[in-house]
Amino acid sequence: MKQSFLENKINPLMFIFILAVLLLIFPSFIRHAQDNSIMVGEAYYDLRISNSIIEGKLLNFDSLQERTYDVNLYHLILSGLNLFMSPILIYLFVPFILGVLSLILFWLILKKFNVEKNVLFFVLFIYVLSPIFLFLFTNLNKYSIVVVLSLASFLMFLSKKPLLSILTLIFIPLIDFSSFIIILLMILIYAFLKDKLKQWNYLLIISTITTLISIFILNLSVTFEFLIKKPAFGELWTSFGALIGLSIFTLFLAFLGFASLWKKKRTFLFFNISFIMFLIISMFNDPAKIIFNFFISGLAGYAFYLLISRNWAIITIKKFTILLIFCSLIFSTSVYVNGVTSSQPNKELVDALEFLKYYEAPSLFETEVVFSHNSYGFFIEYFANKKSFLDTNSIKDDNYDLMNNVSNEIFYSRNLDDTELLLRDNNIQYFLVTDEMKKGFVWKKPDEGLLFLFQSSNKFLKIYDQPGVQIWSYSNFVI
Amino acid sequence: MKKITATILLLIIFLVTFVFRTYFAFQTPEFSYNSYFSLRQIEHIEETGFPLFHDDLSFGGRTFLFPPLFLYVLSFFSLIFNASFIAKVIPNLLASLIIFPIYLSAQHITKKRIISLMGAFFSAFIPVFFSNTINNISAYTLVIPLIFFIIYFLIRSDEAIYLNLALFFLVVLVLTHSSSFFLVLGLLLFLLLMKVEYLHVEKKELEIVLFSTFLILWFNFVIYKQAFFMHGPLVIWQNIPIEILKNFFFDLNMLQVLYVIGIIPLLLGVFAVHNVFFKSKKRSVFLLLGFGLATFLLLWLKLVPFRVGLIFLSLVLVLLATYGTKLIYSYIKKTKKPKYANFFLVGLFILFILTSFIPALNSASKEVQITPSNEEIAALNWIKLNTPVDSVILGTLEEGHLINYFAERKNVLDSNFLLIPDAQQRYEDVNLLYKVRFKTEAVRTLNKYDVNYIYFSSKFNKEEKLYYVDEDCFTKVYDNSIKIYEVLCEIK
Repeated sequence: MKQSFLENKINPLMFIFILAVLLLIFPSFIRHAQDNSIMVGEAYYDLRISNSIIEGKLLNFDSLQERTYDVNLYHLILSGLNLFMSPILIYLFVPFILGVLSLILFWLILKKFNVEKNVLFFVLFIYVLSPIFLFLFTNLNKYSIVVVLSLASFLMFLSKKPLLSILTLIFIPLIDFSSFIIILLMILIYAFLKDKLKQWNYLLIISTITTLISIFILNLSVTFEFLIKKPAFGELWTSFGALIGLSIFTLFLAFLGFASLWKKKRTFLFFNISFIMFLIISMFNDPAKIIFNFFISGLAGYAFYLLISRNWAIITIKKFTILLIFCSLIFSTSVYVNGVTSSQPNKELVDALEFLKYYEAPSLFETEVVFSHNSYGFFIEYFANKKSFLDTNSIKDDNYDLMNNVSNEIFYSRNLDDTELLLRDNNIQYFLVTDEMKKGFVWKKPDEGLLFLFQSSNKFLKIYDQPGVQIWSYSNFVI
Repeated sequence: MKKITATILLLIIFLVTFVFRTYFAFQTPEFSYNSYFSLRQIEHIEETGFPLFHDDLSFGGRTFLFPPLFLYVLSFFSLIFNASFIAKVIPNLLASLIIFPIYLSAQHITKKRIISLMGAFFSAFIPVFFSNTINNISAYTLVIPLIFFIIYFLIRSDEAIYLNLALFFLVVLVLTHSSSFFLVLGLLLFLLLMKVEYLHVEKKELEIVLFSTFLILWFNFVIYKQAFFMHGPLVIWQNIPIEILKNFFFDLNMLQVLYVIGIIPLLLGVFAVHNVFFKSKKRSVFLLLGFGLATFLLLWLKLVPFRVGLIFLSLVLVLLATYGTKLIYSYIKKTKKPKYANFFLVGLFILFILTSFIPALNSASKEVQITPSNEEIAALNWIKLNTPVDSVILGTLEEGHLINYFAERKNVLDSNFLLIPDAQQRYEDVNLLYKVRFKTEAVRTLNKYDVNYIYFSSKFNKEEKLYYVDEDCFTKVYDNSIKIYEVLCEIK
């Protein structure tokens, strides 16, 4: 059966391709069916920045959020694309194309390692089902491009085209410096283990040059801070809610693969060393997690193949185990897809923010700041074209701790005088409140902190009230 | 000993165990404090056909996550008899079943019926197991026999019938309780021990381990998905507040541990371990060692409540002890005085009676006294009849389920912390409310949880009274050995 499936009935690569296409389209399709925008999260920040670049507003300062902006090749690419395509088309087709491209590149790399055809099928199958594949290619982000460039660079290196490899590699630090370090590390390990000293020297020279270019172009005091995050075990797994997360089941399978390859450890030294090293680095570095996913897919795919092809003593157990492995692989995929399809912004939020964009009221402050949970920051900036008090990028700001304390004080204080002082100090004119915030995201009780002030003080006016979202306005005179 | 004689004796041991258990259980009409959660669930299943996964009363409203098979078993029987009666009988019946897998496993390992029967008897009257499962509606009464049946079936997995039974029981176990993780860990450590000792791992063994691991991991991830999302990796500690984790899991000293496990199983078990590692390298005993190590690991990492861990450990030790007994018995048989072998068994039995059986009965008689008193139940019934339906009642951690069950009112906390976002804070606040002396601080905290009434029994508190209570903000609405105060003030 296995042979006929893999070799005769259907081209396995075609099967993987179809599966990838379906998986990449599915979340966008669901979001579209729910009348929600297909873009989620940081995409709105990237789009706003790319729009600003097109309009010539942005050189090295983000005027809306009033913070310095580090030039990023990704935003330049995005603004280039924005000239020819609508954002919807960009976010629908570009990640999809990159996803397919990454699949092809990964396949070519595996072929360079002489991976058996049957094993190759399982490796790609697990890669396509991995939550990281979906994270990278269901929504365009800087890592989508970085991964494709990294794979291309490594493939060139394997194909003994170090110059091409370096030419590809050189773009990565201009998008994400942390990713550059990680991919460079991987190539160096390979070069070192394979004794490819010539390439090794090339890489050293080029990596030094690119580092210098990056230091020149980018603000590396910030970049280095983000090279190493605070290690968190929970941040590693999709099942624990990580955005860039791995599947626990796939890792378990990968460990089986790792154990199976242990006997041939000299042959697979690169895989074994990289597996262990990236497992550790993944705990505190997101790009490492993305690269680690390729090693996990490789080893887990090998283990899956071994389990299917081995002669089982008990056939019933074989069938159930394979079924369970399949269900387990699907589990993490479904957790991720479910997360993406239900994530913000939904239609209600977009409508509310578009209302706010055109809302005209006597302005108290020169800059009108919208106060809400920081996870809505990018949406406020993009849709309402107003400054958000905090957004996800605020964590990089020097005064983040102070601002976060102010935010908490405003959210939870029931003292009008204290709150007003903070509102005036920070030019806060509008408040975006969602049901999600009222149901535990921010508040646990209907009359907690700011919610109490909304009800009890007439200095707050509800200017937008639709199911799921309300917008309040603050005025320093009694209404 | 003939097989028929052994079977009759085994049935007698089963009946004796069951009679002793039910005798103690029926010494009181009430149950242990935590049992009222299960009792409420059973009654809810009886009424609606489904467990109470979304509860408006616990923690003032929350979601429960658990595999419900055990509760369904009890609910099924409560269709015929009264739920309280069933909750006394069925868990004891299930716990009494432990003697069968212990006997069968011991028989397979030792090939001596008399020693296996002794093992069965020992397992039934291990103090920690006997006393903790007598008046407690706990899924462990089903889980523990299931796990030991699975171990027995795995030992005999060469035969298809046992293998199929192992798989069936495994599925039942997964549907019963999350402690099925214990089985995975035990099996993985068994494989590790086999590798370390350079023993050949059979295909079947590897396949069973793989299947069990994936089944248990997958099923638990599906059930506890929400909890994994909410608590992350800390979910394995069930979101239990740190103070409870620190104190609750190690509430016994070393001497007490010896007392509740039993000195005979411990000594003979350790002797068996030594022999297996350094002399015989017996495969079936390695499986038991895997489970013994798993228990140690879980206890060390505080992943199981201390007493539950001790139950697993003591039962593994009983099985190992049968092997140790057999070794000594066979040795004496080979000496010039072989008849002393039987004296050895008799001596061992007497020692067990003195060091485990009597302590087990003693602990059980104490355990059945740790139940809610008539005064407590009367006070809770008063709340049910005299307070608004949506009232929130402050009680201690131990009293939380009672407030839900008898008073049918919301509590501030109880012993199920999973999916409670502010569990640590609640636990600290509730403790504070029974100690604090300043009224403003108390009222602010009471307002935080919308508490309408304070239930004060002083049973689980060091304090004799609530210091902040005065006539301005509190009215004593019930005054007996239990006191109930209505909260009148609110801090804006």
